[in-house]
Formats: sequence, structure tokens, C-alpha cells
Amino acid sequence: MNTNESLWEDSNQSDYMKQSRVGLDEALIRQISADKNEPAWMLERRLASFELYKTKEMPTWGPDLSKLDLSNITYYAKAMDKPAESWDDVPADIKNTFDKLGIPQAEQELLAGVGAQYESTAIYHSLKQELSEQGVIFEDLDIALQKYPALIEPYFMKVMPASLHKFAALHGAVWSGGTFLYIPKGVKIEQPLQAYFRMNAKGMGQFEHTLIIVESGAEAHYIEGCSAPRYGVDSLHAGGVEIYVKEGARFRYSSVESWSKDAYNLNTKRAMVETDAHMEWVGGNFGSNTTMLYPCSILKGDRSSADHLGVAFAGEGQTQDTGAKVIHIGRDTTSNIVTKSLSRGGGHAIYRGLVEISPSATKAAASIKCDSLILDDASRADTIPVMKINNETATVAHEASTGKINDEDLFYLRSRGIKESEASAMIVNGFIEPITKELPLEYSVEMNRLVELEMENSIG
Amino acid sequence: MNKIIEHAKNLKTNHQLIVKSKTEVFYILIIDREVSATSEIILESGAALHAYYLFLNNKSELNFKHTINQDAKIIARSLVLSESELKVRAEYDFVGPASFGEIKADAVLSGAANLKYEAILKIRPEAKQSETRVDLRLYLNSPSAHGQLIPQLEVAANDVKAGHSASTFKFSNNDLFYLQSRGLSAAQIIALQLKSLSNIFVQGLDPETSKLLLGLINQSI
Repeated sequence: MNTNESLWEDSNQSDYMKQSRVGLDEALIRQISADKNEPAWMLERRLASFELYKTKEMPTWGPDLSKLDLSNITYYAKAMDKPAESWDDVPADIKNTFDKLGIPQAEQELLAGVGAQYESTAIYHSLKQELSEQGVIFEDLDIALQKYPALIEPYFMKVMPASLHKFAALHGAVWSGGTFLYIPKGVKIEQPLQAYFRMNAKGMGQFEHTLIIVESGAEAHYIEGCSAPRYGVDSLHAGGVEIYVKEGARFRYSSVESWSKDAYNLNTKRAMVETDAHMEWVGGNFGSNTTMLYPCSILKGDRSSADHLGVAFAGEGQTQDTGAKVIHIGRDTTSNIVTKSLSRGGGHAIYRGLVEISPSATKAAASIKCDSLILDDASRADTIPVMKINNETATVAHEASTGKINDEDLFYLRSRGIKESEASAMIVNGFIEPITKELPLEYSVEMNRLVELEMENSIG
Repeated sequence: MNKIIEHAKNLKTNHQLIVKSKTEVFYILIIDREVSATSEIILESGAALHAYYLFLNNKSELNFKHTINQDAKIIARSLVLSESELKVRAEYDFVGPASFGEIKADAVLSGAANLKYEAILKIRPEAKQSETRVDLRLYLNSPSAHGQLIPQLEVAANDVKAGHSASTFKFSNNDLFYLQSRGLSAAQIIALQLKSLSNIFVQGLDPETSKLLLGLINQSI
């Protein structure tokens, strides 16, 4: 991975946008479905989602979305007719963007598989041969729907139903591209798999859908990265992630999202965790105008567990409304939420979380710890945790603190000859270290670099 | 010492209390019957308020709005003993520099109790060098009891200390085993626990007021 400021400054010419149009109606949804030659049930679900989208109100809580003009978004744009079979076949301008991100190099060095999406469709997907021989499927979801419709149909938008909220309904109507990852029973993948989503064109909407099924006893780590260039016109990312972690399986989902400050990032991520299974979410939220993202684990099975680790950085003009949701249903379920937020330059960081202990969740245990660092007088940080406890045997503990960089720490570093800006960045990197240490080294370095760029006010 | 004891039967729907500058007040509010009310409590500069909110077994809905000015100090304790539906929204608005807040609430829910307790701390940009903390604890004493805790922090100043916690609490298996081995029944253990919480709640009050509150709590149990 390689981060530089040009990722938010550079955009490619997008001639394919001439075939696209702004706005959303039923005809566009039918066109998307026809374009992908989808089974009839998928078109029916898209249209049902669209009906829900029309009836659902914008969220009445959280950040102000009144400036988001949904009629001025391009909901579907195809950069390539079909994904390239090799990296060499990817058009040069698109390849150049992903080369800057270090994707091909990372594929060779540390990834078990890699996917790349540009606008609404995937442009490349690959998986190491030994994994495909073990039955692992790692495909663009559009392609997977053609190849494995019977495998996808029972899971698609079940843990993330369109009825969840307006943007889930929108996603259900216009989703395009994304990833399908299937890990067969007992298969353990040591190297991570990665997908990268790039929104390139002006006023674009990206609605990729990630569907992951981890069968009993399987283990894997999947990483998603996202970015978009800056245009001065709003763009919208309303992706969807659904993860099914079956009995005794373990799955880690990591994401580093660094959108430009034109982007509204209204993403939905949910996992269903079965008996004795474990789900881990590790997330870094950078950039964007407004982010609303609360990964959710539904601990359905007895002794299932989840870890949620997250970092959010709210810079100038940004609202990072992020957090976690855990719904305990099974007996002896456990969850652990650790979040760190930073706000600077007038940014507004919000932790919003829900831990719900259902009446059936006997002896559930939940721990929530969220810390905020406010880096100047103009910024703010809110913490809004909700704990619903409906079983008397539950143990729930929440702890949160908000403050500024400790003056004594800063003084000590400066007395060692370190410039104030560097000392602040060091302290901030130390503050988020409990999260970054959970990422592979390359991504940990990436997240630290993103923090440094944010501290320099460079992103977006 | 200025002391005000207020019972639910006398509480106006819209109630206001102003703690004058550099004055120290002990304010005890006893909610022992069904009530729906909004209380506005203003602490002027340098004022100190020790607030004791006791909620006893009644369906009620209470909204509190505390405004804490420069150098003012609020120490608020709440004890909820409920078998009914209770909604409490307590807002603490720190508007002046060097203000201080320590907010604690313990809730023990029995029967079909349903509690929603929101404690909202707002630290305004002007409230520099303020120090605030809220701690909420919940004990469910029945399989049909439900509790919802929302300790909310809104911090718009960076030179402050602000923290909050919320947790469930219960006896560990070892503690239970020990108490039972000493011949205590489950009901006696719960009564012991309530007594302990009650004693913590009245700490800082004069003996006469402590006796009054402990008597009301005992009656309620």
C-alpha cells in the first residue's frame, strides 16, 4: 500500500460517463439488472427495494444530510465491459490509479487474493490457485451471481435487509459490483484477501455489495480500501457489507476508508455470527464530508463473540459519525468495542453505539471503551452510547473519555528536539496504536500515514 | 447549609431552581408517586449544588436541565428503585469555565420495570478547564425487567476532562456463595444489597435527612 496526496487530487478522464445519466428511476434499475443479465429474483428485489427507498425518510438523527442532493448523483457507470483477466489488460489510466495504491505489488507480496472496482463495476479479481483448488470463491459479485446464483440467493440482503433504513433500500435498488467471498468448511486462509473500491467520476454514486460466507470452522481475513478524488461536487458512497460467520468460524474484516471531502460515506456493514464463531471488525475512517458507519454484529449463536475496533479522524468541515452495534441473542455471547476518535480543524467526531442484550442472551458480556482526542479549540467530540439490557444475567461495562493532547507529553518530546507537529503526530499515532496494531504491518503503516496527512490537513 | 426537600406531590410540571452565586445548596427530590415534570436547575457562578434524586417505584417521566456556570460545582446522586416504567432525561449543560460535575446514578429494577435513563453532558466551548464525569450502574433483579442506559457526552472544548461510564452490576458467584454459606437467603441478599446502595446514596447528607430517605427506601422495599 502506498499513500500520497495525489489520490485525492488526481482524477482520470471518464469518457464512459457519457453513457451514464444523473438521477434515479425504475428504468435505470431495470437497465442495471438487464445490463448484468441478472436472475429474475434479483430484479424483483431491486424493485422492491426501490419502492421502500421512495417511502423511507432521510434519517432524523445524526449528521445533517440536507445538502446531499440525491437527484444529482450518477447511480450507475460502467468503466469496463467486463473485468480484466490479467492486470496487464486493465486500461492504462485505471491501472495507473491502482498502481499508485500499490495494489499489484501488494497482490504479489502479501495477499491471497485481490479485487479492484472502478465506479460501478469490478475491473479485476484474482485468487491464488491453491485457494481456488480448496473451493474458495473470490469474485466480483456480478460475476458470482451468474456463476453461483443458488449460493447467493439465500444470503443476499438478508442480514442487511432493504427495510433497515433509506440508504440500505437505495443500496438494494442500485447495488453494483463488489465482492463475493466464499470460504468452504474448515479452510483456513493465512494471508489476507483484499478489495479496493475507487470512485473516479464527478458526482458519482458507488454502491458495491460485499457478500461473505465463512463456513463452519473456516478462518480468513479480508481487507477493503476505498478512495475518491475531489471535485467540489457531492458524491455518494452507500455500500453494503454482509458477512455470515458459521459455527466455529473466525473472520476478520478490516477497512481503511479515505474518501475525499466531497463524498458522503453512508455505508452499512452487518454480520451474523453463529455458535462458537468469532467476528472482528477493524476500521479506519478518514476523509469524506460526512460518514455514517456503524458496523453491526448479531451474535445469534451460543458462545459467539465479536470485537469492534475503530479509528475515526474528523478534519476541517468533516463529520465522522461512526461506532458499532452489537445485538446479543445467544447464550454466553461476548463483545468488545474499542474506538478512538480524533477531531481537528473544526471537525466533529461522534461515537454512536448500541449494545443490546436480548432476553434470550443469558450471561452475555459486553465491554465498550471509546476515547476521543480533541486537537484544537474549534473541534468537538460526542459520545452517544446506548445500552439496552433485557436480561438480568448480563454484564455490560462502558467507559469513555474525552480530552486533549497531554501538555507534559508534548513538552517531553519537544525537549528531545522533536518539532511540535511531529510530536503531536507521534502522540496521536500512539493514541490509535491499539487499533493499528491489529492490522497487517503494511496497512498499519498506511493508517499512520493517513493520520499524518490528516494532521497536515492534506486529505480530500 | 441550605437544604431543600421536595416531594413529587408538590412538584410543579415546570419547576425551576436557581442556586445563587457562591451559595451551597443541598437539594433532595423524592419521586414517590406518578409524576411527569420538567425541572430547570441553574447554578450561577461559583454556586455549589448537591442534588439527591430518589425514584421510588412509580411510573414517571422526568426531564432535568441543569445549567452550570463558571466555577460552579454540581454533585448529583440518583437512586432508582423501580418496578414500573420510568423515563429520566437528565441534561447537564456546562457553560462556564472551570465548572465541575460529578454525576452518579444507581438503578435497581424489579418485577416488570422498564427504565430509560439518559444522562447528557454538554461541555460548551466556553467551559474551558471544566471537569465532568458521569457514572451509571444498573442492576436487574428480575427476568422481566428492562433497562436502557444512555450516558451521552457532547464535548466542544478541548481543554477539559470529560468521562463517563455505564455498567451492570451484580454479585459474583463467589460473593453469592459466601453470603449463602452464612445462611442468607436470596431475598436477604438482595435486601442487603439495597441497604448498601441506600447507604452510599445518602452519604454527605445530615443525619436527619439520611434517616428520612432511608425510611422511605425501606418502606418502598
